[in-house]
Amino acid sequence: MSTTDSSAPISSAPKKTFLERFLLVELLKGMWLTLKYTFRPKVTVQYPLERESVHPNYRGILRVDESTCIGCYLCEKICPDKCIHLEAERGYTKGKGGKYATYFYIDHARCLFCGLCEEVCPVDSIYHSNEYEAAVYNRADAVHDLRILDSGHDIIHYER
Amino acid sequence: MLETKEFELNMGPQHPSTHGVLRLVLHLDGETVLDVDTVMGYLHRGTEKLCETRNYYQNVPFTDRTDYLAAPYNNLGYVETVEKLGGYQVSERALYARMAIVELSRIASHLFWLATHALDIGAQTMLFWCTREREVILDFFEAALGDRLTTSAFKPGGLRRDLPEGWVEAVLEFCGTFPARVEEYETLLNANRIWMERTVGIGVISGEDAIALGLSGPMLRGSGVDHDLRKALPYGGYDTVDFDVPVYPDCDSYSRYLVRMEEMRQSTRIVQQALAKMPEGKITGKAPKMIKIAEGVEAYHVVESPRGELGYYMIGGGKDIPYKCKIRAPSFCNLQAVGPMSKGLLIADVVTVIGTIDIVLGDVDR
Ligand code: SF4
Ligand code: SF4
Repeated sequence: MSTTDSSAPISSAPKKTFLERFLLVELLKGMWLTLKYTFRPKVTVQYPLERESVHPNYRGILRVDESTCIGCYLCEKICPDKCIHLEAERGYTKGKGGKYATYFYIDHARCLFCGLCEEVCPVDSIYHSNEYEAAVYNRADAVHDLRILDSGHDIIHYER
Repeated sequence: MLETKEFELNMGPQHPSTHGVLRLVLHLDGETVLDVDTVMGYLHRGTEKLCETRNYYQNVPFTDRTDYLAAPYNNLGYVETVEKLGGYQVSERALYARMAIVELSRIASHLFWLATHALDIGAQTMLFWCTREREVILDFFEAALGDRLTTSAFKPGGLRRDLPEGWVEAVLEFCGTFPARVEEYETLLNANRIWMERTVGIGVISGEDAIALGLSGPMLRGSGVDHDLRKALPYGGYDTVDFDVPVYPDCDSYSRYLVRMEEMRQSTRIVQQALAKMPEGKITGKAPKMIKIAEGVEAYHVVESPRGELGYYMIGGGKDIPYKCKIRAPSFCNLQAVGPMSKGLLIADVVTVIGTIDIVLGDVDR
């Protein structure tokens, strides 16, 4: 670590001649640059009307495939925010042996969208969908039960 | 003569240019600032305490939320500390993939700093241009890491998943065009007289004072102190890539601006080199599924985040949760300079001073 001598003021700011100052050269240069941008195509997206697609890797709202979940509680255990709650029962309904979840809910208002639950699930039953519109009018609606988790929640799309 | 009294004025916590919830109590004489008291803690979420109750994997998403503008850097600091604690090896591929990702996050963070700093001073175009480039980087994060802002990118031992197909080529293409964009920003700002009036000679802090206050990052390098942890204490493979550390001796906002602009260019170089060096192979790493660190084993690890020295001090707790996880946040230490830097300036310049420190309140309050 070394400090430079601060007694000698060396300015890194550009020096300008009188003519440059008088003719506002730097201002005109900047304006010319912004003027050129006026004729380029727009990069903005008019959101509620146009939608960009998200990458398949994107961690959106959680979904659970009810038919494959084996009720192992691993996702509940790993969740840092404790926002998954489930009960599992042993039984032979739904065409499979072993356990199945009878009661499962995820509080999306608390979820960190961290993907840990998706990572630990041994049968890839819980997964992040590509849906990102999770706004709700009251907090209770952010809690998704097994039916919503399996089939997806209703999104009210904006229409003009 | 009329008797005048010192006037106290509250700035914030809901002030658009405090970049979050920061309250400043300005002591004024007319419009001249005599002293500034900072009041913090509005965004305190108890991250350090939370980390003592969750296991080593569960803590990664919490570190995103400290400095949310450069989340991958926080992840890197945390996972490298855990790797140091447990002595886990990182695969070569993961090492360079991480380096590329964190340097992209440095560019994204500096871009957003430039956007908001210029906006505070009155240059609106920068906001649109910088967010345009930042958007591209966030798209890269979305594809490779799964999220745009709170990435939870890494896990002890490596990355969570391999980079998607075509990602490397897309990033390299961006790196090819990005330096030209930085030049465009400089055309607008470097010689701009309003920009110069508002930044040259504003927020001066000498190199000695900067060291004494414990400042780090561009705050230090803008004051003529050549100190970058990537060079001083190389971590994560930084000793194998070639880059320069920009240092400017003017100690003012303008020289910190120059430092950050040059850092964006250097980061582009690092990304290109890292991706060129990245071999094929396994990216997920060899750390066990359940990390257990013996009681009393401790480690301190520092990384050079976009804001400065970001340190994690961790002590193992015997079981799978840490006994202690202390975060040395760069914004918190840098924020101390706001008082000495704004003495004698006008109220409008305090906005410049806050902007030039580049604080993230999530990082300050944790
Ligand atoms: S994404 Fe993370 S926070 Fe959300 S339910 Fe899964 S583990 Fe819990
Ligand atoms: S980890 Fe997967 S299989 Fe196990 S309970 Fe959760 S969703 Fe079901």
